Amino acid sequence: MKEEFNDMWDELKDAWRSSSRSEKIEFQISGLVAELKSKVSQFEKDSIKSDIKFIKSSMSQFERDSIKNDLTKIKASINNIIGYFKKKK
Amino acid sequence: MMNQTEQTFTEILEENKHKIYRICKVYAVSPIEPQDLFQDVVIQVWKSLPSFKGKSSISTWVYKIAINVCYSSKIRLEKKNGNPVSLDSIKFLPAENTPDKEHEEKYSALKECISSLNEVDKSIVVLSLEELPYKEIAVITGLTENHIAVKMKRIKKLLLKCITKKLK
Repeated sequence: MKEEFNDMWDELKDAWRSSSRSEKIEFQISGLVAELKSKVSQFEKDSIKSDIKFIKSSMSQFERDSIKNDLTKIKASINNIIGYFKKKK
Repeated sequence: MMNQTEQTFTEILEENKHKIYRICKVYAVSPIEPQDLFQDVVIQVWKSLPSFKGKSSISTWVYKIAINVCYSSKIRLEKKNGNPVSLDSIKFLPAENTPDKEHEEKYSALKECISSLNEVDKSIVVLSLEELPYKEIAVITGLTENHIAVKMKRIKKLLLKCITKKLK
């Protein structure tokens, strides 16, 4: 049973290794280095831009929720105070 | 004329391109293409090379980048938070010697079963299929060797059960 288990695992490892044989990957090295040098800074700028956009959209929602919570708390406190004075009268 | 960093970079790429591609294939779920993830990994290897301190082997370092980048790029592309980067100097061509049908069927079942695992288990099994020792998998995943051994025993059973069912 254990042997069968190990054999099957070995077969899967073979299938796994051969999976990258379906394509040939070729690099034009000098072109690639030049491309990376020029693209990495642009890629970083784009990546930072999209991160800022994401943070901005999350922040505005966060701020809206936070203001909403604050207003609810203030409203509840005012109502408590009003209720307290009404009782005193 | 290439400088030392560029020379090292090209050697790393040539030596590790197939293992990077195998990992990208597992993380790429339609409509994300493995080629898109592969290019992101190449960019990250290029960006990280100057800070490589040699604390681990180059191979372990490449695996760590490949796993992390494939996972985060997949999330980013799924959320449509950014476009895939296209590097024209990398060409993907159909190979002359493609894997046989039996291997393809097994691989396809294996890929489907791996995709049902959680991210930590997925990275452990992928690295194990790459025949990395538990010591190196521990460095990459941040888990202990014992924890990995226990997890692998369970994952192997799960996978083999899932694959047997699919191949019937």
